[in-house]
Amino acid sequence: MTKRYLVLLLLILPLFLPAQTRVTVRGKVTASKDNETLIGVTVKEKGTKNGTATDINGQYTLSVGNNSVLVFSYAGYVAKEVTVNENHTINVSLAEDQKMLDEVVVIGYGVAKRSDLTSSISTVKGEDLKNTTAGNAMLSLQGKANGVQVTASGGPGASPRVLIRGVTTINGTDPLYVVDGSPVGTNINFLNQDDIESIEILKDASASAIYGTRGANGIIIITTKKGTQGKNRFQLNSSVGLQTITKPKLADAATYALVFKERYTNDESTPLWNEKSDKGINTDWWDQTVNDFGYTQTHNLSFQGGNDKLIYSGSLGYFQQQSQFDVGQWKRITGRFNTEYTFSKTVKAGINLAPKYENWNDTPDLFSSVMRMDPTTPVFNAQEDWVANPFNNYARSYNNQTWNPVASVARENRHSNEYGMLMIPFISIEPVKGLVARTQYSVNARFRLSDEFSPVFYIDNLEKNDRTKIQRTARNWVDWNWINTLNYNTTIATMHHFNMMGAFTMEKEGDYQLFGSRDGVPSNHPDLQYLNAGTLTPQSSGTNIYRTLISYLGRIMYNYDNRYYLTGTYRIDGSSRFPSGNKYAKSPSVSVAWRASEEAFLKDVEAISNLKIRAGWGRVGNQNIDPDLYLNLIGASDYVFGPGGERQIGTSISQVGNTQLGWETVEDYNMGLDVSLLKGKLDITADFFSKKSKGMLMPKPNLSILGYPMWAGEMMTNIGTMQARGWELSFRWKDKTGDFGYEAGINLSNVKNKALKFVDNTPLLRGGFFNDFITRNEEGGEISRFYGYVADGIFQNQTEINSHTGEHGEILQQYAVPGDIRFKDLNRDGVLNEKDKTYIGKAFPDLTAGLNIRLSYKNVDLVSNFYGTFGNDIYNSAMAGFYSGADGQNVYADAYDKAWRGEGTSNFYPRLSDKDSNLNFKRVSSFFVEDGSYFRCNLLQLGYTLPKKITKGMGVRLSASGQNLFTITGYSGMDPERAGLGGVLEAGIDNIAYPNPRTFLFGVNVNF
Amino acid sequence: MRMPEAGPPTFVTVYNQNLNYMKRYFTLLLLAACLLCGCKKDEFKDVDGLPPSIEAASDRISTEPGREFVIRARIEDKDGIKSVNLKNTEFDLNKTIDLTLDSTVYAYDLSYRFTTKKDLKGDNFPLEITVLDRGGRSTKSTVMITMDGDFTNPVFAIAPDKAVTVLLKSTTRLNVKFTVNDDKALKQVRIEIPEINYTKDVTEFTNSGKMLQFNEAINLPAALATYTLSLVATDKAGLEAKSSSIITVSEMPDFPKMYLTDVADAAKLNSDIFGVPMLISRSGAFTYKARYYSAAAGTQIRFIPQKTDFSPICFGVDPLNNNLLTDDPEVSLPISLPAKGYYEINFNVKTGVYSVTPYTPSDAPLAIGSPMLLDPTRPGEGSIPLQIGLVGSGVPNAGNWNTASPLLLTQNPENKYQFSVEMTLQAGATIGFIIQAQHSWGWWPEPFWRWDRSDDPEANVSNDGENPGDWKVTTSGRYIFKFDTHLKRSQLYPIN
Repeated sequence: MTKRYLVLLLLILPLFLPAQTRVTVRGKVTASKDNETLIGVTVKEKGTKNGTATDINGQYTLSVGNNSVLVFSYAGYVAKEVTVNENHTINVSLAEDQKMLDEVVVIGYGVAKRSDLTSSISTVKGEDLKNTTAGNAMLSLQGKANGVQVTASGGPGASPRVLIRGVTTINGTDPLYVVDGSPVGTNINFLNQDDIESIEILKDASASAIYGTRGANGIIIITTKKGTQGKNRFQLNSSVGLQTITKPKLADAATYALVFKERYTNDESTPLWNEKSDKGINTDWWDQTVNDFGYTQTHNLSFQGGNDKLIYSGSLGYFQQQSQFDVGQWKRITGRFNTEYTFSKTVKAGINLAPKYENWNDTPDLFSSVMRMDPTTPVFNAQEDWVANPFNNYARSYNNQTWNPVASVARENRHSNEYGMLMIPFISIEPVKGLVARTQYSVNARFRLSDEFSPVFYIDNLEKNDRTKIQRTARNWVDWNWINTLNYNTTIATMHHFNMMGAFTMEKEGDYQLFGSRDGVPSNHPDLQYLNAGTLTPQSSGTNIYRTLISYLGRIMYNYDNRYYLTGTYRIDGSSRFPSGNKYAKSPSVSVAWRASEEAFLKDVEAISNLKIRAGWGRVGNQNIDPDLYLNLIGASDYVFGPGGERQIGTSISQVGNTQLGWETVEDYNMGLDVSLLKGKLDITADFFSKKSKGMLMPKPNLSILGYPMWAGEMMTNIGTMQARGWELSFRWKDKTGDFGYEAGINLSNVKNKALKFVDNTPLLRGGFFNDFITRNEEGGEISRFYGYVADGIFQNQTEINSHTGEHGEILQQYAVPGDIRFKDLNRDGVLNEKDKTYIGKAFPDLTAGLNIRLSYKNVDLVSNFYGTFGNDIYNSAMAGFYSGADGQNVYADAYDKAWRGEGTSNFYPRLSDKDSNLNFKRVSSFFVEDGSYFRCNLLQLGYTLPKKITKGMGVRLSASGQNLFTITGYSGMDPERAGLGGVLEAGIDNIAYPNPRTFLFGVNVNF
Repeated sequence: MRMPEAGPPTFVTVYNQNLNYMKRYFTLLLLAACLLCGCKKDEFKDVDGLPPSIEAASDRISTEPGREFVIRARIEDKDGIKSVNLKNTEFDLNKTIDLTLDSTVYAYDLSYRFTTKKDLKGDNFPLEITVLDRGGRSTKSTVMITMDGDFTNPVFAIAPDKAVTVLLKSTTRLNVKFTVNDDKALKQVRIEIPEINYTKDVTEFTNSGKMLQFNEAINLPAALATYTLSLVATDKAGLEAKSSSIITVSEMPDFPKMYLTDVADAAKLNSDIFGVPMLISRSGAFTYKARYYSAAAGTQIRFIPQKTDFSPICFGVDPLNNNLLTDDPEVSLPISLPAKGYYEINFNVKTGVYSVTPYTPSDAPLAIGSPMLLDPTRPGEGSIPLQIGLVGSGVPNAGNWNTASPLLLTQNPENKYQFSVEMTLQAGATIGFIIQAQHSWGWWPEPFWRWDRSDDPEANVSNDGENPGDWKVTTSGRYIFKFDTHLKRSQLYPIN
């Protein structure tokens, strides 16, 4: 019966419907470049609100009127219209918009079309980051954005150093990170990189001036993924891997003994050799302390979806990285939920919520101890000597003062938990077309609890802790900012395009700290590791630190006929870090561009898709300084005096403030060229830039006549000037031949960082080395250059020593014997002294290069990323100990064989000597300077996408990858990249820190 | 820059080789460019085409092993001098002075000093001077260096004190005792007291003519007077050493300083680096108070007002009256301390009255091994056991002014006020130290003891005082350092 009614109904129904019949159209949308299915393509019946979106398989189904027109549109592709006729299966292939000129770029307090840009802004898509597994998204950026020098620093949770276009200040060089419009400080360890939709790097001041006094080091704008209309889409990205550090070749016990003893016998003295070392023990301290592998894993489940009212996206991510010690790890759980609701044509609102939890155990800094430890010493004392406290049962180094690293790992007990939430709600109103008013208030709140326990132990009088100590630090950071913008977009007379923005913002950062400690916890038992268990010397301290900023800013972007562009910005910042009268700073910028490719004489040249010439100027500021430098401070100061030698609690002046403290400013000029050739297959970008800081804050000695105490004898004063000049050149080639697709990008950049003015023309010496300094930074020269004596080979015999004199026979190296290093008397005055020092190396490279290659053939793809620096040097100060055995430390395995031991045996490595009277290993010299150039394979990933017939329509990609797979370098230390780190005035000194591990990963990506 | 060591070809070495090839390639390019452009700067034309001329200041230089000599010559060449080479294989000398670095040199005054090895064997060494001019012509000249020079003055190893007091007796005698050495040969030693017309020339010497040990008495008039004793030693090269002493014949004087000695041999008074004999305190006019630790029963002590000898005055027990002291070194007997322990000896040099009293120190000995806070203001930083040691420079088996690595002193278990340590010192070395508590971080905590004066210190100053001078070690061997925290006296002397 039911069937009959239905048939009847179907027969009657058309009588009441309009004459046009409706049909169901199905089909699949693919990309013409690679025939890959496109997910989320909007399919609309033209002239109606009727529409849908393609699913995970690129399929769609839509009921439309017969003979209607379907419109297929997708970001980055040319929209296509197809008329529905008798064929109800319509498969569509969309062509990529080759010029990509209408790509929307986030530029700070607004967006703009890429074609409208007049300044230097690099964009890296989230897609390009996802192949690398890293705790900090900046590591995935390495080599991908030109002019951005990212230097990794090893252990779990370590943040990389990010320099954008060099250095123009000594007061903090980190760029400002802005996530979804909200400034979040100078570290983005909290961010799950799978959440990133795109990263924009504002490199020149004409771009970054919109961030005013925080633009000096560049701005990194991160936009997280938003929802899209259409069906729900889910992605699961998972990878697990092992990381390993290359073991350095260290001497075994026998070689160590040879080196140890020869140091004394060469000095004609008796070796101070511990007899216990002759018991045949050969401890490999690396194997005992460092694990072969550390474990790392990351898992992320995300989704996007929405309809014409509500779009949403969300994710849940987990990241874990272990160190290669038994302790030291970092875990992070992140969530993100971004929603946007369209109430009407005029009103939209949304909120981005990003909670997170981090947990880490501090990674001990022990590589140096591991490598120095005496291999003739056992790990433990003899078992019959063991006592109840297990920390006492480790052996003391027999022949040097290095603390037992296995014992140090066992005692290591520092751990932290951090909870945080970044909330960004907003409302935007578009009362008239093109005019958008938006208000956004974001809160970034974090809470960190750090605990530390030092157990009591006794290994030796010089390796012990008599009293337990427990301490806890609680820190809250609550930052908020309120951003109100008004944007207006309009076109007048079809030729005059305007994009105007005005804004008012307020920000406050709060840092609240509470610290407590006690000594004398009754035992090392874990149940007693609480502050209340301490019985002695209770101590506590607490501080509040506030920083506030109020800003007024505006921007006008104008272009005439998409050929001539002009952008101007202006920002006024008022900061709490400066005294009255100097609180406000102004940051103007102006930039112009000419898109020659739109001129009549080029418009029809098919080979040139885009040709744009840019020029810009801007002035920005740096407020990366302590918030209290203009204040006179009084601090606690205890003193021991009186008959009983009692400690008296008192106060003293701890800082003399500068009431004239002003802003550091950086003035920046940039010229650039963007070229896109061969229908977008080849993109070339070139930039030249020059940045100069003024009024850089530096400590200046107070006049003695003022009578300030010695410890407050300096005042921060606006004195210094630095300059960074350089160029950037990028090439990107992208093409496809049949099933074979390939893409290659090369980024080359150069920057020279110069000091132009310092306090009283006094060079800044940094990097201590045996009562001397390694780097010398002086006016007119590059920063972080090594300054020392020039080593000129080894004295092979007494004749060479006797001939190494001044013109009149002055002895230059009176303590030298054959086998010692000859140092050059550069000024030929017959005396080897400070005047013979010269620049012997430099830390910053001449060229930084990145190479990215993607290859694909059918279902197989290969992704690779290479990164390198060229022309930089490293001061390998580790050689001082590892080739000399100074103070009885262990040495490299080849130290004995390489040491000079008679005429002709070596012209580089000196003899072994305990006294080292010639200061072979204690004098800053070119002996320690090595070429620090390297070219590293950051990533090599092989992926295979399973055929969809196997996966029932799901997109499943399996991958195997290696990170930091190999490095081409002549540097002899552990890691040239890690060694290149350090403060900007003392970079490139290798003191053996946690090197960057090599990581092998297996990953799976599932889309459904 | 470091050049890579030879080894099996690796990826890195291949990379470096490629770099080297590139460097060579660019060098060739540069050379080619240079040839094309012409190298006008280096163009040279002969002026007279003659070889250089060398006019040595002397064709013979007399010196001795271990001594510096200066070779001088006038060198000229109208074509310009390129280099000067000085060569002698036995001297391990092959020095080339490059004169092409600045402007062209046509005349050059060679003045080159060189020090020969101390253990050089041989008498005559030809030193070859080779001068090369810019035209490639060379001239050689030889200067003979001979090792027959004498440049060292004689040295008084033991000399009378600068001020000597002789007590007026029925027969007033001045004991003159000294030792003089010369590295080559002595010619004459003159002993002279002009006031009494005494002159004596000694020309006979021991040790192959290099040494004189003189020990003779000179009778002086029995009257209060002042004389000058003059000693002049002359070697065969005419080099001299002089010593002069003021001799005062007097009644018993009120000596400003008095020393206690527990050694019997006068040589031991002079072989120490410091501390032997030991300074005692002056308690009043003519009266002195000595405090001393007797390490064993029967220890014998005497008192002297001069440091280098028992003569002319040495206070000891008068054999004729054991209750009094006498000053004559020939007759006085040592005071014998009856037992182990601390003694206080009071005496009056004028009356001869003396007393010997055992006592127990009231101050507490150092609690060696007790915990010492590393940072007294932050007890949580922990502590180390208290240890004291020698901190300074030249101290064997210790750091250089490093309180973390002193030469630790051993506490005498029988007398906890006393500390000692042995060490081996080399002749010619210098040493200087203070006594300091050890500290792992290199801090300078109390307790420490410095000195009453930098050179030839005679007493320690607790938590104060002066830093040491550069004390010279004259004889190699084993030494012992002794320190008494109660007496605040130290000694450093050889023990073999």
